[in-house]
This record gives sequence, structure tokens and C-alpha cells, in this order.
Amino acid sequence: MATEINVSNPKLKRTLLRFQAKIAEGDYYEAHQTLRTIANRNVRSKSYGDAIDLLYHGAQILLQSSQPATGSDLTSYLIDVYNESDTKVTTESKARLIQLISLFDPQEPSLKHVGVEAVNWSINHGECQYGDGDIHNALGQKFVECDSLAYEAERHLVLGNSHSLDTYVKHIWSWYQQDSEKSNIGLYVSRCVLNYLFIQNVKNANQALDELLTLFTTEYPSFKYEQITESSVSVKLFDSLPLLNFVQFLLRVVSTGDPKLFNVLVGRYSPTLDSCELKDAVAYIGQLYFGIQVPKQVNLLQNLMSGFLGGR
Amino acid sequence: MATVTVSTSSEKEFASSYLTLLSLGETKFPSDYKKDLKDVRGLGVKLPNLPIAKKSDSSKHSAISN
Repeated sequence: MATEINVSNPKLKRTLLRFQAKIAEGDYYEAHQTLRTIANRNVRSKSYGDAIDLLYHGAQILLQSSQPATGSDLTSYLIDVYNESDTKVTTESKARLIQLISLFDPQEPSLKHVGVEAVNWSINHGECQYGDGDIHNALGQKFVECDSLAYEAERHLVLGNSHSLDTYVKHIWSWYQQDSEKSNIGLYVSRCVLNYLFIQNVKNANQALDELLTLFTTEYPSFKYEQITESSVSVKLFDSLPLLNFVQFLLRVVSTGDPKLFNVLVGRYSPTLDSCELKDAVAYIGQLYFGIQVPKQVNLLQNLMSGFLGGR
Repeated sequence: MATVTVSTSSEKEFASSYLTLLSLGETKFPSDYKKDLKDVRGLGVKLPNLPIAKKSDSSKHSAISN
């Protein structure tokens, strides 16, 4: 498929058309090297706009011609030029990266590194401390297709945009379906809910819970539950799935911000949280939504010594 | 869809009284509350790994992707 070369500079256009012709002839190495040299020259003369146009179109052509290594190299170079030219995160600048990321084969080993570079650029030149949501979404959508990047996919999707939630729920559900121990459902659901609560996205936490509970109760009706409703508050209370019950109560209590009610809940489900290694996560929620300070780790030796030294 | 009885009465009693208490409280964070990513200052803590490593099995996606 021929890439449409949409650049206003006629000289650049001629360069890119020659590049495209060399690629069509299968002369990948020379085409890549030539384009890199010209881009280098543009960077040295601080013609960043031209360098960006060249690298973006060149990377696109290579990635579409199944040349992932050289395509990835030009993508990395493009990000370097973004950094050097202090290019801010704008709709246009991030759209180039998102388009290139979308062309990568999910199995391409350099994609993870390109992802780190892209997120770091968006941290340093954008408004979000943890990176731009659209770039995270592009990476998450790609990473879910590569099982060795399952946890990385999750991180990107949680920090993604409005399109990420659906993919994240599918990702977690398909993971759960591979688990032969079906009573582990609470581990999968709580993961989604906690990850969203950590970044104070109560909306997505609720939506993820609703969607996963619907999938679970539909697909595995042998897990019995009772719908309990008091006033306008409701939960599905499961027979033998305490973590799934806990996580529903957790979302309800988060809405109140009441530390006493939170402590009652944590006390009640303490053995479950212990066995699932979720105490730290829940303590973090306690701090974030209820202002409950987590006690600092006590250094016994330091305490003992300070006692000997008159409490200093 | 039929809902069925729950296991221990104590769990049910807890649920009933807890939900009553929740319903009496004020709403500080509504169910559609979402902090803008620009204002997020922490990512939480690392959660323990899931019991299994994810494996390729595209057919498993069919249940919800169709």
C-alpha cells in the first residue's frame, strides 16, 4: 500500500518520493540510510519541521513495507527530534506517534522501547505527569496483542483515554477465562477496580465492576449470589467469593469518604485481604479517599538505640 | 435472571446493615467521579501478579468481542 505523502515543501516531497521508489524496489538499507542522513542534516541546521516530516513519512513507509527494525529506528529518531526541538504535546505531534505505533507489529521487540520513549516525551512536553492518555491508549491497544506484555498493556490502558476501558475489561476477562480456577474471579475484578481507584477514576472503576460482574454472572451461573439492596445502595452478595463482595462494598464506601465505614469494611474482610496480598493496596485507598495515614514501618533497632540515648 | 440465596447469614446480615449505613451517609465521590489525568499525582501500589501468565488464545475473546 502506497503511503500518501502530504508535505508542502516540494524538495522534501521529491526526497520522499525517491525514498518510496527505493523501498518499492526492495532497496531498504540504502533508502533508510539516505533518509537518516538527510534528516541529520536538517537537525543540524535546526530545520526541525523538515526533519520531522521526513522521519514521520519515512517511518510510515518502512513500517507499512514490513521493515519493523528500520521503521522503529526512524520512529525513535523522530522522538529524539521532538525532544531536541522542544516540540510540545499537541493533537498534531502526538497523532504522528499514534499513527506510527498503530503500524507496529505487536510482536516487534523494539516496540516496548519506542513506547517508553514516546511516553517520556509526552511527560516532559505535555501536561500529564504520567504521560498523555492518547499515547497510553495507542500503546495499550497494541500491547494487549502481545501476551508477554500483558502487565505493560494494563498500565497503559489504565492511564489511557475513553477508548481504553473497554479494551482493559476485555483484556482482564480473557485473562480470567484462561484461569482454570474460576473462584479466582475476585483477583481479576479487584485488579481493575483498584487500578482505577488508585488514579481516582471512580467512574471507570464502577463501569469495569459492572461489566465484569455481568460477564461473570452470565457465563458462570453456578456461582450463586443474592442481590441485596438497602435504600438506593445495592450489591450482589456471592456465596463463596468474599473478595468479589469486598470490592463491591469498597466502591460503595469510597463514594461516602467516611473513614469509620471504611475501617469497618477492612476489618471485616481482613483475612481475605491478607491472603490475597491486597492490604497495601487497600491501605493506599484508605489514605487517598479517607485521609487515613498509613503507619510508617517501625525500625526496632533505631527505636531501641534512641531509647538508650535518652529518647533522641 | 434468577438470584439465589446466599451462604452464611452473618455475611448477609453484615451486608444489610452495612448498606443501610452507607445509604445514610453523604456522597463525597459520586459514581461518575474522575480526576483529570493532568491532576493525577500518584499511581498507587504494585498489585500482586495474577495467578497465571496470560497466553495467546484469541478464541477466548469471542465471548465479548462479537
